[in-house]
Amino acid sequence: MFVRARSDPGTFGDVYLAYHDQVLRYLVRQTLDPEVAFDLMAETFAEMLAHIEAFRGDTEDEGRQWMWTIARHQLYRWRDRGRVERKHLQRIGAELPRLAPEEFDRIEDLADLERFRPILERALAALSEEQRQVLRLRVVEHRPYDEIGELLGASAGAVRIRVSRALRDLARILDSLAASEGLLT
Amino acid sequence: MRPDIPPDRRSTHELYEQFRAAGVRKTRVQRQRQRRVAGSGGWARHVPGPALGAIAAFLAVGGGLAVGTRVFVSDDGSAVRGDGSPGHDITRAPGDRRVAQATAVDPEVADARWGIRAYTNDQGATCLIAGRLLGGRVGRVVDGHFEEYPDDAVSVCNDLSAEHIATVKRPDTIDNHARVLLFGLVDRTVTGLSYGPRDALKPLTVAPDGSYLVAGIGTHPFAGQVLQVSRGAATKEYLLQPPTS
Repeated sequence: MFVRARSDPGTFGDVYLAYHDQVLRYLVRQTLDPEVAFDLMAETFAEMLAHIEAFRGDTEDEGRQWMWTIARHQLYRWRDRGRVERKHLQRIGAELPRLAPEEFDRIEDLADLERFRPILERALAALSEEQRQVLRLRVVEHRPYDEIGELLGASAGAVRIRVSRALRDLARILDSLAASEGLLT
Repeated sequence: MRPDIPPDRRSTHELYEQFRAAGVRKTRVQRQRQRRVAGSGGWARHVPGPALGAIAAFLAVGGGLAVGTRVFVSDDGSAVRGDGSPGHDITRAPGDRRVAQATAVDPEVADARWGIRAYTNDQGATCLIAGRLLGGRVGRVVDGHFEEYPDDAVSVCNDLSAEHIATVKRPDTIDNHARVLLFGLVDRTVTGLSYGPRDALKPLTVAPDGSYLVAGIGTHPFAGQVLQVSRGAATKEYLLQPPTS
């Protein structure tokens, strides 16, 4: 499908249909935030489409490796900057749809976070109290960033960065705990 | 009736439609570039550079080009002609096909929108069809999947020169609920449009391209209602549907 999309980008929709849920599952397990995960997934596929001619592989497996590389880079950029840059979505002329409540539920179910919970609890125990607090407010209680900022005496932007860095540290711990149990993808 | 797109998949489906449309646009641009590089036509050599670029860019974004004698340039550059019968849609005019600017949010189903697809036939009449709007395309939802209307979907064609307005009513459904779409076009002489019971008219928004669209609930949402068209100080009423009782 990747090779076909390179010669005929009109078929890229097939690539998205085949893989979007896998990428979404990975991203929501890494970010613990369905909205951020959906945003990152959309930007991942937008980047792939925008640069489809740059894909050098000849097999489906090489296409998947290329896809996961782009998805991981999108995740790392989000962790560093605290926000998702939508430059590739804009470049291809697409807009990010807003998630309905039912879609939040579906994405959380997709990530099977209940099965993930025991490892998540062990990883959270390894974080600082400040990091646990900000993650509890955002990930568990789903509070908006500006509301968390008011509680903590910080701007919404500063809170975003604190959340993303806490999740980055959490992810490092989770990677080592979960990889051995095959729970990351 | 078949179910609509499941609510928990609407956004992922809308993304799919956008990626699909963007991919098609990208393919079109690639083929235009390949044709220019092949450079076989004298036409390409004789047209000045900026004009050629403008035409290619116009075609690349899904527009069409009506040249002089109403020959339409289709997506692959070949000429397409109508069947010549006035007031009827031609079997294929993809180059001129466009989504009108008027859209309507469904009155009951969240995040569902309606839109109009338009093109001009070789008699100069504007042909319209309305349906579900998703990812910049107009079509219908079947078995939870969106399908764009094919090029030969039956459209209603109107010449605006006589009445200055074209009005179409079309039944449709969403989530097993009936709708009637009221849509059409006005020309520049129309200064206002409203609809409803005679004693309770509501304004009907006209988009900059002259299109308008509203989705009514049920099978006879416009029964006993009129469409009032204003052209300066003059107004004219059209009965949309006879009263049901």
